[in-house]
Amino acid sequence: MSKVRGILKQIGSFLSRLRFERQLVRRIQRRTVTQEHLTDADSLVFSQTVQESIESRKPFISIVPLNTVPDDVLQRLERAISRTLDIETEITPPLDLAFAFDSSRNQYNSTVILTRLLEILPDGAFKILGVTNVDLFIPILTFVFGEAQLNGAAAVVSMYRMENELYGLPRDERNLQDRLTKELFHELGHTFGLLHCDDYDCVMHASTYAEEIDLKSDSFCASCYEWVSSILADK
Amino acid sequence: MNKKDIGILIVDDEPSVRNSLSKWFEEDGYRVGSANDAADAQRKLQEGRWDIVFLDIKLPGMDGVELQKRIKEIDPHIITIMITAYASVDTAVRSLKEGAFDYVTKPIDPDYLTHLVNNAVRQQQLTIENIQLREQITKLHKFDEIICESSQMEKVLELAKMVAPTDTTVMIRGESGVGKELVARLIHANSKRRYFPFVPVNCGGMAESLLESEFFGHEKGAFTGAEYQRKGKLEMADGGTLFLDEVGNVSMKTQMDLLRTLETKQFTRLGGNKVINVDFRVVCATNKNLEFAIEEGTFREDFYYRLNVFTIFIPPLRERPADIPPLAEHFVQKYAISMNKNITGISDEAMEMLKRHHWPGNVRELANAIERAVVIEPGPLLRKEDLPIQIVQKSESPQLESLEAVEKAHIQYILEKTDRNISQAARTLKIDRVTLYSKIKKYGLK
Ligand SMILES: [Zn+2]
Ligand SMILES: [Zn+2]
Repeated sequence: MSKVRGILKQIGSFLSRLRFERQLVRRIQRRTVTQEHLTDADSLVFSQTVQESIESRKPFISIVPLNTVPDDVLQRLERAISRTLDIETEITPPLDLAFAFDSSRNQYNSTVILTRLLEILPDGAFKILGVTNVDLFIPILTFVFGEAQLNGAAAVVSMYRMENELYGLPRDERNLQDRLTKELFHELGHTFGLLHCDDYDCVMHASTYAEEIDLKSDSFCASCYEWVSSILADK
Repeated sequence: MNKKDIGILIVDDEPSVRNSLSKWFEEDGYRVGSANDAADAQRKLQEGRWDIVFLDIKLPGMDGVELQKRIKEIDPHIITIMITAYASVDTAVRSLKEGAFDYVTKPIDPDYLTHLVNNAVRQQQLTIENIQLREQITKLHKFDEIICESSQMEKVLELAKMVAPTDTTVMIRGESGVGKELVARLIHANSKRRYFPFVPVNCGGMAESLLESEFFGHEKGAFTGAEYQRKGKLEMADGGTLFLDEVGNVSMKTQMDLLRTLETKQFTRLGGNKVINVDFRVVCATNKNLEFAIEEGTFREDFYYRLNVFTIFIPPLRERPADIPPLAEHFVQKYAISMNKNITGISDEAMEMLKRHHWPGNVRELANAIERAVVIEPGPLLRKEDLPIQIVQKSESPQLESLEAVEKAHIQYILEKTDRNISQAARTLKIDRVTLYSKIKKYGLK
């Protein structure tokens, strides 16, 4: 028993060291920690890893929960991004959306949110994605699922209008997450400069109502994917 | 049609509306522009081509309804969609009567907007197709108005069909009313340019400055009263056929400008300096003796040679009496149907009279005479009494035995032939103008 416990402890400390290492690398990448902050021991233990990561300082995508968004939702988004685009993500502390609230419409102005997101773009992040469950709008339209800066860094997406309950249907968490993932990729695609795609299966196909999101897949078609990966290759 | 070929212009004084709509359509792949007031919008409309214009009903200066009217004047094919607040729906409905495609109330449901624009695009393409279709229908219609049994007309149609598929410039000659435009349309309909417009320009009876602007169009402010840019016929004919009717009436200066365009396939709008490229075929028509006009110095020789490549002469109706009965029957049928009258044909007596008439106004005169007769005849046959009185007098074709009668008839004939151009008629008759005037007065030839 004690032997098993000893092995588990070893594994545990190995994992925590690994986690610490990764965190450190990220903090260095984002320049929240510089090499000078490291203790001698730290630098001895991790110097090699740290050195490598500083040299390669991979850009990442910052994910910002706006108001409150469940952790599991955010983590599933992270996994989807890493699976599809092989990009690192980083979840920041939540941002309060009071500044974007329009009391006359009782909705949140997504364009205003985009502007704020750009201001808080972390060092080393090349995209910043706001995720929320409040009702978003742009001035001329009744609502939007999300908005992105075409060829820019910021995008925002909301699951508010994606919830089946809003349309008198029973809540469907799985479906909601799928819709959110698709629209997140869609808006992310816009930040890469992609326009709407005629391919009905492509995530860049425009969807103007919730059920329409279900009709498309959560992946880019070959040509849209090629476009995104050619941009990522330059990073 | 590719979305990036479709231009959407957004006219609104609110930057947030402009920006959010622009972005929405940009992401959809459209070419997008915006303007913040009526003046800005008109400038944009002159600078480039726009297919769909979103217009705020309330604009500073000129309001949206007025602007939408102006846009329709500049180009009736532009689709206009009014943007309105709930309070101004009445105004929006009024703008529909002025030709707006639809209106949207702020804020717009995104799905509705998407469908609206899709419909607008479809409508626009339909309009383009409709124009071509309508033209084809008129062409077909005109086609069967080329009704003939005479060998002379058979020959004309044969020539027209032969030259049609080539891109050769064609000059159609013949007295007025013989159907020169119909033959021109027949040529266009049988050419490779048939899916592009057939653009007729009547060069007669228009002031020189107007005719110039008719041809070349003008930029805003090119002359007093030119408040907006206007597309000229040369531009409209791009890809198709430009039909210059009564080309003998074009002034020397405009002849020179036209000649230059025909040679370079380029021109500029009046008051502008942007070079516009055009590609069209020219078919022209004249009832004038152009050779005589050249001698006289009123028609440019180089322009003449440019136009007179392939000539088709349409003989006057009186020289092909075999065509009168089928044409007359055709017109009776046509007008009886359109006036909903039970007239089935023409009495023998009336037909005899028609055949004997001189028809100085040719097929057009015949059509007019029959139209009038159909109005007054209750049916079932068109009678001699129904035919306009002039015909009766002339068809009696009376005492031409006396020299005076012959002189009167001849002067009448020359006057018609020269389009009542006194100087030209006098020259042809080899008498001076004063003498001609006194003879006109004497014989009562108004
Ligand atoms: Zn989109
Ligand atoms: Zn695609």
